[in-house]
Amino acid sequence: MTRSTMVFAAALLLTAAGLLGACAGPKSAAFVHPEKVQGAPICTSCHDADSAASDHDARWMKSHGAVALRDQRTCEMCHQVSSCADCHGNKEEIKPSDKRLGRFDSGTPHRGDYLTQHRADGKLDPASCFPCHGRKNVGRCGICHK
Amino acid sequence: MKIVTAFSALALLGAALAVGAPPATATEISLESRTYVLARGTDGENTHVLPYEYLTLNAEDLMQPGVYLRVGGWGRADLADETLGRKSNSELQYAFLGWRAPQRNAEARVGRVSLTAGVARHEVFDGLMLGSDLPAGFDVTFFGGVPVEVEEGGRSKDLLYGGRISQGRAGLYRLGASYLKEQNDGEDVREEAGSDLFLAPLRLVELTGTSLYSVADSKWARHDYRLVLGPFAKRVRLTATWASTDYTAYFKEPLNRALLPIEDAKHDRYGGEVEIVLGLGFTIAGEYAAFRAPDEGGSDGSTYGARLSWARSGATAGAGYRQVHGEAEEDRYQEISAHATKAFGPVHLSLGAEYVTYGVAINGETIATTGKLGLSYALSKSLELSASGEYGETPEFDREIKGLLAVLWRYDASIKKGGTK
Repeated sequence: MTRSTMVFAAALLLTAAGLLGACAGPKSAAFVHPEKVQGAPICTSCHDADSAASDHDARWMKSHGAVALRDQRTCEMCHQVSSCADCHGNKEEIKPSDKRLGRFDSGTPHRGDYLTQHRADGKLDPASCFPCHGRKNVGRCGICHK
Repeated sequence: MKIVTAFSALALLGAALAVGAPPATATEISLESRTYVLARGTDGENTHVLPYEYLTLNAEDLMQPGVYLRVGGWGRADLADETLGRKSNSELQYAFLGWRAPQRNAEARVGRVSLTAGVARHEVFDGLMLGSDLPAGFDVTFFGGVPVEVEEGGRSKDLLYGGRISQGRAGLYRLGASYLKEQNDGEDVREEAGSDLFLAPLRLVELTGTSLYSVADSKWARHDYRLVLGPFAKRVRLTATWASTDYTAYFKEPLNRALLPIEDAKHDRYGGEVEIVLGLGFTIAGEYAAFRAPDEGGSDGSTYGARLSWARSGATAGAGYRQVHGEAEEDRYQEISAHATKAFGPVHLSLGAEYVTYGVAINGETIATTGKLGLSYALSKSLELSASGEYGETPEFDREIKGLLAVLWRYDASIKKGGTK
């Protein structure tokens, strides 16, 4: 039996146990946030300090990925799936800063003359480009980087 | 494909559980349309007029409680010249049927799934996702299917699968371990394992981070950690960051040729941020980051900046300064930016401007100036019109003019047995 087969046999057993346990376990969390939230919420203004990681404060543009990879469902309580795909889609063409129109956020990437600025940013920190422009969203990159 | 077959069996199990639930009394449907018309013209270059249509459809309690549908996608045409080498383009971003159990947050999704879980970052595939909480603070997520390719190279013998298991206690800690493998035409192209961490051992102390290990290369691809202290007195928040990247292991199978892996090149980033709430709606923030690339192919350097922002009852304003200081003069620039927004009832007005000076002349220019004006009008709760215009004089374009019109429309309905609300 190969390693991957063993891993997935264990995975299937765990998931099956979870699904079967779903008939008699603790109640699921709310699917949709019970209160409608306006703007960028500071979760800790209502919730315990436990929720500080999800505060949509000035650092949120940089830190939201760490929350999403732990539990995508938390995001989906308030956001549509399209909220992620709008920036992280496979073939997205409109810049995030354009799509948000007047919702100015200094953290939104690629504002102003980013065509020139990205040369310096890309040399200093190319790893920051990779999540959105490594294996996808490369249509615009391919014009010059052939 | 045996794995997909096994996942299918589990999906059927989930479906059976769903069917066992009492029928839903009403199905909630939400349809959203976003139409953008983007026009762009530059001196001596092509003109582009691009109508985009984004559609999303959500349906809750579809026949059975907890059964839901999510669909999202877009299409566009270019009414003038070709854009990115194509007259038209489109993407089905996601389209899946899901079921959420009333207990244990158990969930199943089948269709075109978009998933982020551990080392799986925005993976889009046609297949299955299954997840559930388990006793003792554990939870599991597993997925498998055929990855959606950005380039149309054929999807025969393509496969993506993996999962994440985590254990934790709400508000105190969560430790996750995850795995992902991708095959293209039957050949392994990616095999990654990783860990993710959330730790809040004390009040006002929070450590989060991830480590990514390339199984194929047998070495760490990237570590990325963030320590946040505060907010002290609800006003001061301090953040320290560290990231270390091995390009060879991290840049796996890039389609972007600018990110072809550089042999043995590594890169470290050390950073710090301070954010202080001053009161009366004012907040000031500063940040610094140092980059160290010990090998050929990378660039040492630093970035630092500060931003003063203000927000009060429907109005915001801000101004900031940022400097990027790379090793070579051509990798240096200073940026000054400012913005202001104000809501007047249903009308929302926004202004923004940026002024950049570059370390050396690029195409004979060292300065870029851009300005943007946006206006939106909410005709009703379900219909909003927006328009924005941007003008720029940059090293790449003597004059660049961009305009964007947008129409946002939402439709919500509750379909009850025997009628629509």
